[in-house]
Amino acid sequence: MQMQREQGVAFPPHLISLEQIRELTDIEETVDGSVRIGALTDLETCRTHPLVKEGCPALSEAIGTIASPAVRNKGTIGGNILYGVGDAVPALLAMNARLSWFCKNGIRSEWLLDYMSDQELPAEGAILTDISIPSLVEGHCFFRKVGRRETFIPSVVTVAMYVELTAQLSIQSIRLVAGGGVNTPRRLIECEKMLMGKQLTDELLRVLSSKLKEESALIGDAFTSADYRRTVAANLLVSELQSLR
Amino acid sequence: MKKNIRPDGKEKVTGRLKYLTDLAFPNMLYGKILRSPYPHARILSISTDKAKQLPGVQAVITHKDVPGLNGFGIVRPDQPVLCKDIVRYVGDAVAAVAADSIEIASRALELIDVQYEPLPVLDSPEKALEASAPLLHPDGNVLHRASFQKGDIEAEFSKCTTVVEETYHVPRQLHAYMETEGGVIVPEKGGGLTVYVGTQHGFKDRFQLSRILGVSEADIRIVSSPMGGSFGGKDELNIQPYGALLAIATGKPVKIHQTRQESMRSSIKRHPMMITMKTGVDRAGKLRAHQTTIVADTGAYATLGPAILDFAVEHTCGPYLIPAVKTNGVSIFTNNGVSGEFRGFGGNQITFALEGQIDRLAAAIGIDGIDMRRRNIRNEHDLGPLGQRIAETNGASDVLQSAAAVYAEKKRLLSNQDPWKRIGTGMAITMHGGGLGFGRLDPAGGRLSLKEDGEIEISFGFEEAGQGILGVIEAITTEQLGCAKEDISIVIGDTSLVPSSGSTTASRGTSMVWHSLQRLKKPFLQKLLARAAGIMGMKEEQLSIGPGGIWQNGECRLSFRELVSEQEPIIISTQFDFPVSPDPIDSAHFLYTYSGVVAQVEVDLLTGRINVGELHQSISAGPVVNEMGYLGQIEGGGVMAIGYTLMEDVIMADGHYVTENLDSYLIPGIKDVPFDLQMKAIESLPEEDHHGPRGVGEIGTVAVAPAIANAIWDAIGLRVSQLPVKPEAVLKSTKERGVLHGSQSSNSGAK
Amino acid sequence: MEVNHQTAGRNETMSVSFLLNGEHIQLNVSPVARAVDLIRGELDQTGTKISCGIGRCGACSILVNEKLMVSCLLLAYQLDGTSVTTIEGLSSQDEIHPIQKAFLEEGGFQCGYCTPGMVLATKYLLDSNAEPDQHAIQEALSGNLCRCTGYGGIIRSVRCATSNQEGVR
Ligand SMILES: Cc1cc2nc3c(=O)[nH]c(=O)nc-3n(C[C@H](O)[C@H](O)[C@H](O)COP(=O)(O)OP(=O)(O)OC[C@H]3O[C@@H](n4cnc5c(N)ncnc54)[C@H](O)[C@@H]3O)c2cc1C
Ligand code: FES
Ligand code: FES
Repeated sequence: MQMQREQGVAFPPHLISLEQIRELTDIEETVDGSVRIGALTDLETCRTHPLVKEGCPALSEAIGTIASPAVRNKGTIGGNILYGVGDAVPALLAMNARLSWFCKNGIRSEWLLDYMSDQELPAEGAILTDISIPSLVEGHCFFRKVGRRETFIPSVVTVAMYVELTAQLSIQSIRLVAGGGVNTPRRLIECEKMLMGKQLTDELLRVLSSKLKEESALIGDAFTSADYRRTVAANLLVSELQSLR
Repeated sequence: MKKNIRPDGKEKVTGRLKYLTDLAFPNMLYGKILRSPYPHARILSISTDKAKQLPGVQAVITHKDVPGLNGFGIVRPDQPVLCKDIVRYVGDAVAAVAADSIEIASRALELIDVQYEPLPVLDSPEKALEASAPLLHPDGNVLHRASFQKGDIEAEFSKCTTVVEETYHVPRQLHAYMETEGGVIVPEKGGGLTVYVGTQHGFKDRFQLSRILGVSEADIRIVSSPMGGSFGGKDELNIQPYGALLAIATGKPVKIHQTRQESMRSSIKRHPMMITMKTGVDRAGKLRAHQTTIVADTGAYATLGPAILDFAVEHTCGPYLIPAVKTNGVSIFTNNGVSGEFRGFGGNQITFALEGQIDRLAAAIGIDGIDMRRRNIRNEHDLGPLGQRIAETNGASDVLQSAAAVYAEKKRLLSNQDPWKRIGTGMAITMHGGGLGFGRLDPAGGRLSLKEDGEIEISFGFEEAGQGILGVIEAITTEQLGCAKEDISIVIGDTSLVPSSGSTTASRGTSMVWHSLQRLKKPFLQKLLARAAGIMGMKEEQLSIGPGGIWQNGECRLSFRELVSEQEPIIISTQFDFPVSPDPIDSAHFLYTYSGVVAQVEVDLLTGRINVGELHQSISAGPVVNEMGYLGQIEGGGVMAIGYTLMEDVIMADGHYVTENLDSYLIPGIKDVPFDLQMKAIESLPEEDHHGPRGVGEIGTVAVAPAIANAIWDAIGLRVSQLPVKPEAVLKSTKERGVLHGSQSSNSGAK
Repeated sequence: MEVNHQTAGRNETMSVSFLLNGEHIQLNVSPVARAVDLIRGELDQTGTKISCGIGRCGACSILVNEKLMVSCLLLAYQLDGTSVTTIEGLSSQDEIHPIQKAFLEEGGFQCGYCTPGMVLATKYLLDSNAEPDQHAIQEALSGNLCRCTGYGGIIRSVRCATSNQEGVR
């Protein structure tokens, strides 16, 4: 919100500060082994928390690419999700996170995937209370952000992936995500479908590469073109899959 | 390394130092400047009535309120202080407000009603040169032409076996000093005005302001230090005229501190240039002919545009001996932001092109770049690039030799584990003139006094922008006089207290301090010793100056304080000119510094991103005065140039800034630069040299871009001709030439 | 559109109280006033600098409850109930902090405008990591831009501060 203000956008007439609500700022492991993160947990706490660092390293890594330590000390994980193009989102999508909301008529819960598809609050005035990440022991998680500078930079491209391989190295389960800049991070469902059950051959990866470019449909801006973004997203995902062979 | 702690250091690290934008005075008002929303338009009307009625507004000024000359500019005053009928870029000022608070001043700006009629926007030099283009200034759209010619270019080209031609594009770079322009202008009780605003030449600001305000220079005092960075960007006037006019209108102190967006919009930038070079070598690898055209986008107003073009023309052949040279440069007015002085002064642009040519030629004839340079490098006694005699040093060969050794070492240690990365090493060299050049008023001077309280005061009209001039003055003064740093006090940056020393630009500060001390030292010490001898009843020859006072037989016998008690203070001044060539060639330089740069880059084949892993600079600039300061200039300059090469570009579209703040205009952060920057100072000068240490403020920025470009070529075979290098261009090139594909197959093959 | 971003609610004020470098501060602020303006303006602690105003340079860094934050993105009221350390709070009149000493001796500054932020970012780093490696140093200072030094002197300062701190312990 501060950024909008500097750009001359009027402050809303009323601000409600959620900062003092303690329950929204803790991180814990639940009985089913998933990690629950309070939505108002600041990004830096989130990044460095042992449950996140060890349980979901890709999320920790993703958060580490957001802004700077000083900004992460203030910004919250919930705020990053609701910001629409936050860099934590691709990792969370790859890990198939769930969101819980506090609404007038009770608690509502939904997949992050569903929320991201239209980015509409489940009810007017709903407050995001927590994010939970299912246990991901079997699979391999990956996140990478590319910006116009090494760090402290808005993203140009973000990609994330979760993949489980069989002993024969064919794909048992996969989630692919691409985003970056003004592009809302999205799951690449068609590409995922194409890969399911398949062995990672050179031929398959070649086809995947062009399909990724197409499905990601990333758009460009004054600094980087759409084509560049799509190519980079495809390169990063394909090379990561290649490295798993 | 001997650690000379800078005199201004403690105040800086503790945050206690008051910068001029930190000052506050009783009854102080806040100023804001209304700038044009159009890059080119006619002003139809300006109405300030509503703004004036806003409670808390104390003054609103327009062109009608400029009592003297409504214009400024170091070379010629063609930039209106407040525009009357035409605006020529989005930074042009139309009105200004002083109010009780910043908020009220901002609100008042919105209430000023200006009607414009938009005019065609000349957003490139090409457009500005079209026959149908409107004229931005009475004399047309060409600010300046500069050329140089020697030898028979056609005849020499005909002797060449290989000729390379390329067009290079370099971007508009932002100084990005961390402290944006600002300060306070205070009307003094007895009349007169004190201007607490950073600049690189207080006396010149005083002159320009007196012309605008229609008051005598004696009534204006400029306090210009300290500054939070400048790099050439605060040499021209910025907010001073508005603050001064508002302070006079209200009779109260007025503070203006531009926000980053305001700064981005109104500040000067480095000249974007398009440089075409055609260069040929003969069978022996000797350069024979070198033909260059330079087109500079100077933006809406002149400021130092002509001098920068002259500098680029002078440095077209760099440190190489070429029998036939033909250079034509032109600097064009456009409706883009104003281009002006920036560390390197046209040298960075031209060196990128020249060194690119050398590397292309070397590859074309199948020799390595270092060998190519060796065959063509100037020697100690060769004339300067414009055929003028210059202060003789072996700097060019020295830095080449040093860089060659470093290059070989870096290549040897190279190792690459990552299949998606390519590492490359590159080098480049340059020579860079200091001072303003022949035929330009370039006075210098200083004053040394023993004051009533026994303090030795050394004063100069220089400014401290962060470059460390205070540390330089302290080191040179104590070394030359033999006293301790506790014995001296340094006064700079205040026109009411200091002698005129010329501008704090063009790497001249260090040189001028040293030259001044050479002149001041003898008469000053003589007077001191003569007086001491009188007091002590001894012969002068028995005495010497040391820490604390007058020494005899290894002991301090008389303190400086005792030396002045009940006697007159001792004051010695000097005035002289920056040394120039004995040959009267306009704008030619006399003192040069040299650098040899080696860069190592890592290219990410998946993203096209380039990371500079190593940067080593060999510098020849005479003796090192203050090691920490010297190193800091070279490292800081090198990193500024990494930014120039890889990410910095003030993007304009239709005359409007696309990059408005540090979120879109990027400067290198700590991760974008080598963790261990390296530097070697080559201090040797010929025995007969009597010009002492040269300034190193600029040299560290000049030859970095071509070294990186050369390293990129080494890594992936891409010839860079446009800065900043875009990852997009890298990816495109690697894809076209199958670099990535090769890697992929070799990678999978290995597994 | 009525642009009122800086004047919104300018007639209302809220009371805030906090510790500034150990000293108790209580005053009324506009709900939309920025912390950086409060600190540099009313409280006249000008060691905290301002450069970009949008969280993109770190010049305005302060410590809020020992955590590094950029004061241009904090609202003044958000300081309520906290303990704030600015660069002025690190040293007393006659003794400077070991980190400041390291910056002084290793040339960790030139113009000095980024320096207060750099020093505080270094303190924030060393408070939790007594022996930071290259990666940790780069990470910790990634939000603080310096245009003068090229970071070489700053890196040497942080390394030196690491050993200075050991000396203190
Ligand atoms: C300098 C800077 C650099 C940045 N760089 C990056 C970057 O590199 N990558 C990146 O991803 N992001 C970046 N950001 C964005 C930053 O991550 C987000 O601003 C931050 O995550 C938002 O968190 P916040 O808590 O400040 O949210 P706020 O700004 O307070 O809130 C954002 C929006 O979400 C709403 N909201 C917040 N929490 C809740 C909740 N629990 N329930 C319901 N609504 C809520 C708010 O009302 C508001 O509309 C950057 C921001 C800055 C200032
Ligand atoms: S001024 Fe706050 S981060 Fe730049
Ligand atoms: S010292 Fe000038 S910005 Fe860092």
